[in-house]
Amino acid sequence: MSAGLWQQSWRRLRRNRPALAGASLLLLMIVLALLTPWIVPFGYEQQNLHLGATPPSPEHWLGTDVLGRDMLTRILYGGRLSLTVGFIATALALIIGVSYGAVAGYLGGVVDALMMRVVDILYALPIMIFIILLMVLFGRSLLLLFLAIGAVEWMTMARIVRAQVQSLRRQEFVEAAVAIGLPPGRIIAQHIIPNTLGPVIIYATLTIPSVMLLEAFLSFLGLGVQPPQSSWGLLISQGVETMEEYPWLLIYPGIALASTLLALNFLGDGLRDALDPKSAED
Amino acid sequence: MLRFILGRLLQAIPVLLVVITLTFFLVHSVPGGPFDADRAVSPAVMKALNSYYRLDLPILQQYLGYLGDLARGDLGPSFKYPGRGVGEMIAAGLPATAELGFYALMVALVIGLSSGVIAGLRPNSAQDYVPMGLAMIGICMPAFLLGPLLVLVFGIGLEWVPVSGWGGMPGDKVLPSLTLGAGYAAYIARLSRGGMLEVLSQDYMRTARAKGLAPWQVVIKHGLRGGLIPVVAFLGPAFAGLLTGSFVVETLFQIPGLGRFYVEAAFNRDYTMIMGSTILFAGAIIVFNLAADVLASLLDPRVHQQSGGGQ
Amino acid sequence: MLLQVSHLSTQFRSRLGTVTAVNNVSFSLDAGQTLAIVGESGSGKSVCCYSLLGLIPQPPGKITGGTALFQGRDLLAASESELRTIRGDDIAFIFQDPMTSLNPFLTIGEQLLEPLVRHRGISRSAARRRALEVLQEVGIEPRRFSHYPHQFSGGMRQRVMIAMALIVEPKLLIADEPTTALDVTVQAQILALITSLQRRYNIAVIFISHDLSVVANFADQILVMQHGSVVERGAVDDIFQRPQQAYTRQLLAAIPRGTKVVQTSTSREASAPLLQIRDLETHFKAPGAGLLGLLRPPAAPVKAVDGVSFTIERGDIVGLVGESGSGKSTLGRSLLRLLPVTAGTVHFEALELGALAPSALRAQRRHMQMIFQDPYASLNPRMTVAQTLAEPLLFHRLATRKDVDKRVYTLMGEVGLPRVSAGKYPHEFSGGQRQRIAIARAIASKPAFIVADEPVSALDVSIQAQILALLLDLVAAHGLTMLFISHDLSVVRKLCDRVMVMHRGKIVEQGLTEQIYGCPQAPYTQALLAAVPAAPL
Repeated sequence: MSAGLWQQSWRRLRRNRPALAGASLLLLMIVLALLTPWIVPFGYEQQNLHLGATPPSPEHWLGTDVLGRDMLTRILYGGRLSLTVGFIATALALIIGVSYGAVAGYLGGVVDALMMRVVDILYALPIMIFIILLMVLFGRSLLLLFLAIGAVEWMTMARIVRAQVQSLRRQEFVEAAVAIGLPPGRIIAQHIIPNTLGPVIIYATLTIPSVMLLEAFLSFLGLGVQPPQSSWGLLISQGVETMEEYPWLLIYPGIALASTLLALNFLGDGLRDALDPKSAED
Repeated sequence: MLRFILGRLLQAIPVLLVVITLTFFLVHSVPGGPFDADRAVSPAVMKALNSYYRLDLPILQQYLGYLGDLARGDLGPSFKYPGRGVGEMIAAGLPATAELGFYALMVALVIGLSSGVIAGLRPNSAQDYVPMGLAMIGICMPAFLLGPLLVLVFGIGLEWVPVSGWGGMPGDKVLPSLTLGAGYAAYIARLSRGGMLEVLSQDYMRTARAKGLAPWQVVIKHGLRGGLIPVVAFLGPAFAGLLTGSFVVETLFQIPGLGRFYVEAAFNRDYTMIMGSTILFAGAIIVFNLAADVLASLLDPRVHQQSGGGQ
Repeated sequence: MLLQVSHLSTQFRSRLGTVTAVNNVSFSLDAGQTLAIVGESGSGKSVCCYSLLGLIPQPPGKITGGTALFQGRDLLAASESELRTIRGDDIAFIFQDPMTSLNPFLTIGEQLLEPLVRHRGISRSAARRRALEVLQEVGIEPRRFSHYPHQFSGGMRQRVMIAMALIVEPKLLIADEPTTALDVTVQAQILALITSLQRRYNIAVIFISHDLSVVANFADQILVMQHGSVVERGAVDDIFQRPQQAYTRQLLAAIPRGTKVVQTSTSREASAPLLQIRDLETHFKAPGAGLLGLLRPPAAPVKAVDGVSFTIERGDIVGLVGESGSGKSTLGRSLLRLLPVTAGTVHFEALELGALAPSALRAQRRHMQMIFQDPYASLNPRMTVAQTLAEPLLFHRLATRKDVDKRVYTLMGEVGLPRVSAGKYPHEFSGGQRQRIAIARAIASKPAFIVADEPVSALDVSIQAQILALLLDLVAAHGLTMLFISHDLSVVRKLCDRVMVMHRGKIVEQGLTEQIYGCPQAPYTQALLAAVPAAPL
């Protein structure tokens, strides 16, 4: 069995050390997030008011906040939330964006023109402003947050997929498939989608940190996740308030967020290099 | 060229209209919101609202009336501070925000372009890894994280610069500008590196070298224009980002700018201020996107030249 | 002796090891002489010339030996700044693809001025005057000085490149496949231009090409290269009349010469034609039509195929020749309904294809297949050979899952591919082998009719001959009917029974091959045939 393009890409990815480091860190974060309810030393609402904010100690590895809540617990739960928002909103954007883009790209003609007009108009709208507006006006549900964030990201995904599908359609091997007599559904499944997966994977991996940043930004402004739930953005905003006296309240959530984003970006970059069809021989 | 600009302007108008309409109806549909006639508000505000917003009229007429007011440049009274008009408050906050945005953009362009181009000239070397590594960190450090860290280190720790205010004390514009600009510097660095790499591998670079041109001439005269295109394309989204980013930065550094007013308005439920600011922001973004598009097409003669040369 | 190259060697380092691109190459050239370096891809012909002036990227590349004496000075030992004074001044270059070799962001005038200003140090206005003169010499109107490259056609762009090279009156001009990307008639013009300018200014020329017949008429010496080494060197006549080496003979043999060998044994009953095309038209909407039409009137649609009628008899190989933009590829695709047809009918075995419902059309497709030009794009990179060949077999139920492997092996044998290749992916094969896979795929469903769209144009000359022979064998073995689309008139002459000449969407002449080549009637056909470089027999 010789080397298919996927195996080659995998090998190239393995050689990319920052990408591997990123992947490992990401895996670690995901595992921690999944296992959180079972591994936390304290309940996240558990307040020890008499403690107040204390620096890291053997009992509280990352210290406690002003209400005496264990920071490690809060950061772990925050990660759970932030990562969940990241993955789910990205998945949403992916499903909508890929289908929309594939249909528009493959069908072409009037359908495509119409669909892309819609996207163009939506793109021209300053969506961020509207998300903020929505969050301001309609409050603070998590569902709205998912929808709002997904609404921003799907369009770029649709554009990327559409561009890829269009370029594939012009490729002669797709013409050959048509010439064989294969019906459109078969052609899309066998020939178009396997060759689209590359950019989709890359972009999805890079969308997750984008989404997480968006959530953190909104939560920081007080528009996203609400206490007593915690997300990294919220923790950072709380940490900023008291950063002079209790810097650890800012630094640890900051490290958690920044390192996860770094991991995702390195992985995304590595994937982009590994899946680059231009370097198909090795 | 003029046709192109006119065309895009024409396209921008319906978009602006959609924005205004959406904003209006969104704000008016908030349950229990201020325009809800049942809401108990102070009589002074009620009187002003009634006279400006014709609250006893059907919603469509309210909308049309609002459009008319907008056309005259009247944004209505602030909901929270009845004595002051929204337009007045926006005008008060605009200078600081505009200045902050400008400095941040300069930071982003200067640092981003130079590091990106330098990195692109010698890929996979130290000259490449160092700036790109820093850029990677810049991307992963949102303004609301970077800002406090910079404040901790340079403001509180080393006491090199003040940590709040704008224009009050010398050097107080440094940290906010850096904070806002850093993330975009990182993006621009990566984009320009990518652009340079793409351009340097083009055949016409070989032609330039075959003509015996000096290396700097080859890179700058022949390479830069192509390499800059992805950066210019990014300017539109960058502007939008700088604007929303100013919300955070102004809040962090206590800058009396539009961003902070907007965030405060959000918390104070100053609905008229929210409406007016939203429309202003949206309009600015649309205009800036257009400018960026025009700039991008100016750089590439294949776009802006009608191919009229013929054979 | 203007240039004397001795034992030049260049290597490239990659992760897989060191590749010797140029191996111990020696040649010499006098002022005013023309040396043609001929070889296939990978022969090192271009790398060898780029090495002379340090134009190969030095990190992966390295000149490992030899000397190159230019007017007594060793280029290979010169420093970078010394080389920079020679490049573009004493030695000028013309590259293969003028679209990518000219900077799209600068006007041609600006690019023309550069070598003058750089090397002569004269003012821009003086340089501009000289540039305008040169433009006229190469046949470009001076007013186009401030135009951009994309506003010119391919041939015109190459004239700009020539102007750019000649503006400083170099002693040596190195032309790297300057006409490969151009149409035959344009090629003839550009070659004439180069040779006339060469005579006028007494410039020595190194002309790199993969096509022996192109250089036959104006080169003084020929250098044949293969795999980085010199295979043979000599005067033009010697190479053509008395080739010494086997490879040289192979290259010469691969030049399609002569006419098609007509099999007299083909007893063809007067049967109905296989294909009947009447008044076929395929139009494309001009770019920019549509929503933007609001701001300016949409341009007229492009009539790629503009009223074409012909028939194809069973068992014939019909050639369709034309230059780029003639519409021949569009016609081929329109026949197979791979493109939407604007008007006209296509009758395949008495069935009107346009009247078929989509599912009926799809069922009909197994009888008419296509071989595409680009072997790199016509195979799905993520499917193995076996999967690619099995697809039509399984879909048209010509094989079951059980016996499909056997059928695939048979197919591969027919096109000359070893069985072990079945599990490999396209990127593991060479261009010629990929084309064999594409051919196998086309004959898999046992079609009656095949459209071959420039199937050998992207291949090296010696491989071309093999693939053409393969096609002829398959046509005979399976009783196929073929439409062979090509811009290469010599190939068509060798392969086809009948020929149709296409120009700007219309068929200007059609008939038996020898009639068309012997006595062309239409002026366009005459011009086309006159432009073909004739290799000395």
